[in-house]
Formats: sequence, C-alpha cells, structure tokens
Amino acid sequence: MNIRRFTLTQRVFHALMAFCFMAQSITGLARLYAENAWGARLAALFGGQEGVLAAHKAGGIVMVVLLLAHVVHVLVTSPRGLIPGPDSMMPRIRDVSDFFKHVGWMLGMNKHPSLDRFAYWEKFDYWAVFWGVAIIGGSGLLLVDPVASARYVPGWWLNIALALHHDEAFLAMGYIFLIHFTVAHLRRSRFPMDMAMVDGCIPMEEVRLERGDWEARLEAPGGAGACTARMAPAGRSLALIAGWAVVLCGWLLAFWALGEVFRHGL
Amino acid sequence: MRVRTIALLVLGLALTAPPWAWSQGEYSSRRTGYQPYEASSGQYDDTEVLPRQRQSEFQRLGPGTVQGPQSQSRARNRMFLADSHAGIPYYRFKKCEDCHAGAARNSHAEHAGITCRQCHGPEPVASVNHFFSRLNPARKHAYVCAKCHEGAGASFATFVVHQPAPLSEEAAKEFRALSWVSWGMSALLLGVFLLFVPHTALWLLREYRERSRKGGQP
Repeated sequence: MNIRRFTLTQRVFHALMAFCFMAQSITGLARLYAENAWGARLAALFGGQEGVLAAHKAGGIVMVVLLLAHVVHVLVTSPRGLIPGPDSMMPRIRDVSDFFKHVGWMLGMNKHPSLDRFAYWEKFDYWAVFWGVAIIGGSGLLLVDPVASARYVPGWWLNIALALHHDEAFLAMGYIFLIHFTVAHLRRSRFPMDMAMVDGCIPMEEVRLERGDWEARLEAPGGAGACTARMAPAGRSLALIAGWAVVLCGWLLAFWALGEVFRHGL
Repeated sequence: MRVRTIALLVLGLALTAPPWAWSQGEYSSRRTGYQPYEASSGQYDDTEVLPRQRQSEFQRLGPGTVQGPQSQSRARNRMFLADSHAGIPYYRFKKCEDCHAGAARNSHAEHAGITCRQCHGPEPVASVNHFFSRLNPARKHAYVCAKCHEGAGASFATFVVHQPAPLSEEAAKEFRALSWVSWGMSALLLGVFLLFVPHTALWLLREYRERSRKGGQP
C-alpha cells in the first residue's frame, strides 16, 4: 500500500526548480570560471559569454517567479499550512528533539525516532530555498541591469550583491549536490532514487519504519487516503534516468568547482 | 565722544563682517573659496569634486598598492596630483602592476580584459581626486563607466572596481559592509556544512550497516 505524500503541483514545482537550478549552476559556473578551459567549454554550449549571461538572467527570473508562484499557491490552496502542526512545513520545537534523536540513532545510542510527516531535514531543505532565493534572487535582480539598479541604490551595493550572489551560490550548490543528492539518492533505503517526488506516493512500509507519528494519524479516521494512481513503470524509469542525469551533472560540476576552489580559493 | 563711538562701530563692523572678496570669488565651500594656490598646494576646494556624501567612501588606490607613509601631507599625497606618478624614479621603465599589484587583479581586467589605460587614461595619469582627472567622481560615470555601461550615473560609478578581497583585513578597514556580509555568509556556509556533512555521512553509514544486519529496515 502507498500513501499520498506530494500533490502533482508540488511535484511539478520541484521538477521545474530542479531544472532551473541545474541551468543556473551550469551558466553561473561558466561565468565564474570564464577564463578556464572548462568554463569556456560550458559557455560554448550557450554560444559564448553573452549567451550564458542571457540564459543565467532568464533562468534566475524564472526561479524567482517559481518561488513566488509557490507562495501564492500555498496561500490559496492550503493557508492552514502556515500554522505549525503535524502536516505543516513550519518548524516546531519537536524538530530539534527529532534531530538529536535521529543523530542518536545514527550513532547507535537509541532507537529510530518516530518522525511525523515532514522531518527536520525536509523542513530545512524547504526553507533553505526561501532564504536561498531571497539572497541569491535579490542580489541577482540587482545585477540583471546594474546601471538601472544604481539609480535606486548606491553603486557600491553591487559589490555586496556580487559577493552575496557568489557565496550563496556555493552554499546552495554545495548543499544540493553533496547533501540533498546523497539523502535523496544514495541512502540505502532510497537508492537509486526516492520516488516520492516523482509519483507523489510513499510506501506504507517506509512510513511505518521512519514516520510512526504520521502512521498513527493515518490510521485515525479522516487521515490521508491511499495513493492509488502510481506512475506507470515506463514513466518511473524515465524519471529515474532524468533524476540521475541531474545528479551526475551536479556531481560533475561539484567536482570541477571544488577543484577550482582548492586551487584558487573561494 | 560721538566720533569715537562711530570709529569703534566702524572698526567693529570691519572686523566682524565677512571680507568683501568672499562675495566676488567662486565660492561654494564652507571652508575657503577657489584659490589660485590650490594647484601647487594640493588643497582642492570642495567645488572640484562631488559633495562628500555623494562620493564613494572607499580608498581608490586599489588593494596591494605600494604607498609611502600615511603621514604624507595632502599636498604630497598622490591621490591629489595632476601627474600622480610625478617624481617616481625610473617610472618610464615600470609597469602598472609593478606597484599596483593588487589593483591589477580586478573583475574588469580578469573577466573583460580591460587594461589600466582604458580607465585611467594616457600619461600623465592624473590622480583620481585631481580636478582634471577623468576618474574624478564628478565626471567618472560619464567619462569612464559610460564608455561601456551606457547610461551610467554617479551612483553607478561608486561601484568599487578595485575591491579588496572580501575576507581580508583590508576589506575590514576600507569596505566594512562587504567585509561583514562576506564573513556572515562564510559563517553560514561553514555552519551548514559542518552540521550537514557529518550528519549525512553518519546517516549513510548507519543505513548501510542497518540494512546489512536486519535486511530491510532503516
């Protein structure tokens, strides 16, 4: 039996965000390392630095719009999600204790904690997008047309915007490529890919083992229904291939960028 | 008695009233008028540059520049000369980056291949605060920035091209906002990775061992 975890809209948002994130990483690194051979090679995919810059600006604007659309979507469809609760993404005090219990389980000190629907690391992933887009999108929007921006803010803010954009980009890429990809693809229970974001369903088995508190609520009357419409095997394979293409692309970028960071510093 | 009173009044007025020349000279400063000795003394009037609050507050020599002692008078300070390199021995045989090592490493030079001369102009290179300099904040945006950045205004020209390394001591002194932001972001970066890299590694290891032992449980 499978349990409904994500709606179609949420999954489409995630897929679009993933696509935009990869496009922004490729074009951003192509600009940052424009003097290097592989920076130039990446830029050649977009027809040189002008093309890269245009694509990066367009992708960035799309990403900011996506996040705003998500906020509107949440406010319209599930405003109750803004109130902290078991089905909400809002942080709760129990997330802190869940963290310590989970780490304790990793170290073999206690049993696996009985988590609820959204665990602390998922909430961190979710909210990181908000401050990430606020920092990188805010600074990026200033830099889309620096001459025009400087009419409204002091020109030296652009120095700070560049620094913020650069630092947040490394934080975001580092987190997504190294942490998020590992958690969603490499954990033994999820390898080769956590399919919840693909077909929106999570096997009851996983809920029982990891998320006991959610399971308890599911059995109560009025709980979420079973997830009957799972994706066809062909669709799942396609999603698996697409997912791994993104992961491998991310690791390749991370490998290169880390090399540059070790050679020249951040 | 009346004569003495009138004489004292006239004397008092003469001493307290502003000199007549103040209303005649080119005057816009609270300190002094435009004075002919400025060119030799290096004491330039406020009329020559934008008001202080409109200027970028950051030093414009660029990081890593070899400089004389800070106690130099403003007259000798190279920030205010018509020929900023006047009197430097063997100047003809030097390259810009021989002295301005840090200044040569900037995004304009590295990303766009812009040379020093394209912004600072031909010899003699005037100090950026000299009233003839193309890089004087009064006209920098129009004479230099707008060559590539069409429509650049005075605010745009306060972008710090020769930006010190964000985490350096130099930035902490000269560009405090950038220093704070960069240190803050570095702390965030370090915090996130110090927390989540071991967290993820432990988790990976634990699930691997758990599944091997129990065959299927996380």
